[in-house]
Amino acid sequence: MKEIWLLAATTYKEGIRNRILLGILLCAILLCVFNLVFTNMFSHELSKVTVDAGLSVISISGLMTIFFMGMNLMAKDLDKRTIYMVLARPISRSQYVLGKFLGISLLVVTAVLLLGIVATGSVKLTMLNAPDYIPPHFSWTKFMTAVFALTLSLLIIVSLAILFTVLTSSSFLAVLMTISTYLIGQNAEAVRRLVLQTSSEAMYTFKKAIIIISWLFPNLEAFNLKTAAAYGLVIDKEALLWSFLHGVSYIGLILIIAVVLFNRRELT
Amino acid sequence: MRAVSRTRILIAAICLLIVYTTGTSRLHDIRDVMKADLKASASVFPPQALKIMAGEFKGLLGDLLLIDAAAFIGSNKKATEEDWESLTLLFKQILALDPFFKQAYYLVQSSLTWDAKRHGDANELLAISRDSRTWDWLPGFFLGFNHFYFLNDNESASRHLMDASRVPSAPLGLATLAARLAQKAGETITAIVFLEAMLDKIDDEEQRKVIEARIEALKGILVLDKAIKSYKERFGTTPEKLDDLINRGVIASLPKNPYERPYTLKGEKVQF
Repeated sequence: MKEIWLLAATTYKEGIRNRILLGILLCAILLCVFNLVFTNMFSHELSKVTVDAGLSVISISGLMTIFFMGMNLMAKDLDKRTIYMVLARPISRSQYVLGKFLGISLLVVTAVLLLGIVATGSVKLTMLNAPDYIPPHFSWTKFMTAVFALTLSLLIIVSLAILFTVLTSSSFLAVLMTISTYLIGQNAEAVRRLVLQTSSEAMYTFKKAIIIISWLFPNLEAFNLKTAAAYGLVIDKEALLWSFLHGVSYIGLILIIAVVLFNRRELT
Repeated sequence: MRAVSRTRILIAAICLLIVYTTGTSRLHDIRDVMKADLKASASVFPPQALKIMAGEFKGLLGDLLLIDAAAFIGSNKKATEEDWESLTLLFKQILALDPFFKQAYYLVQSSLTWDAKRHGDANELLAISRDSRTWDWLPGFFLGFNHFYFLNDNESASRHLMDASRVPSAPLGLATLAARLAQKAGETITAIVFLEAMLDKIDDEEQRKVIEARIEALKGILVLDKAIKSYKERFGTTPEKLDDLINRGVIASLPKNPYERPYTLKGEKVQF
């Protein structure tokens, strides 16, 4: 466990050294400017637009942190062969994979935290400026729940990024596969719901394929509580609990597959 | 040591698999029956703003929004006024992103026209499709149908159907239907002029016969309409039946109906 934390800390520090915080800060400034300009374009439900924009920027920044920074941190080790130096120490491959996951996850959580504070501030500011447009059921608990769910979905993507980096020898391919999985994960539920409603015989194979896909890929839409947060809609606690278990177990399983694959991989 | 590690991984994998299967299965159970959340996509973004934001992905975003709309329509849940409002906005967004989208206007016609009875909104959206899909006669046909069936506006219905029938791929029946509606709306001359213009564009002998028969029928109606008007001026009342026109010397004989049946009088309207 100590080794995993050590590796996680090293990965985290490396990310910070890469001026990731500067990028996130830039995103935060853009978010503020965006909110100031953008919300004025609307005549109704200004708070809703701010919440939408705030949570979306957190999501986009988290994704960018994973794709442009997190994945690079691990792929670089493999590309530049620095992994030998790490594995020459008393660190097993499993610990390496888990350490990297933890390090990148910490970077993502930092990004979410920083932007979360800015987003909260900008939502509060809009509410103070336009108190008439606050949705009647808006609550900060729902807003924070949405941020938490969003973070969990980002961690799922981190685990997938680790798996694809281990699986392929090209970091570009790994990024591409992670983005594809992200897109499938976002839309699989809507497609599944749609095909389940059809009773057409011709759709039978397609239906089966979609059901299989919905089991193989994470249901990222289940973690999208932006609308609920923006309108103050009721969040189904049971669905939230199962989403949480779905997410955490998915991360665990993906990491196990990544560990098994990495243990078998020939490092040349 | 390795064996112990492997056993640990295996146990962890089995435990996670159990949690994953249970969690995902329950999650599917809950979310599969959830009403499609229209507010998610039909947000406050005005359609044109969404178009700007979508950048080069307008088509893709339109496709995704349509899946939302289709999922909602197919969910068989009783929709509230607010839901229909959201669905209307969603369609506006979809058609702003991709005004050529065929499935969009099909869904508009099936949901907004028939289920929601929001004819004004539906017609507004159908007009976008009609103006964009210049090769497609169906949006115009739906517009005509809605005016005839739901709005009881024969004049607008015939105008829309006439426009639709001018589309090269439109079936011939559309032109004759448009002419019939125009005649019903009291626009017999318009109907004749329209059909004569159509006739110039048709080469197929069979199709020409259909149009010529309809023109002849309409011309017969025109003659009868004038005779009825003259009858009213002379006798102060409308004839009870068309034969009264002959019996009281207004016309010598009734025009020939090309459809092998006599013209009839219903109220003040002549029918063929």
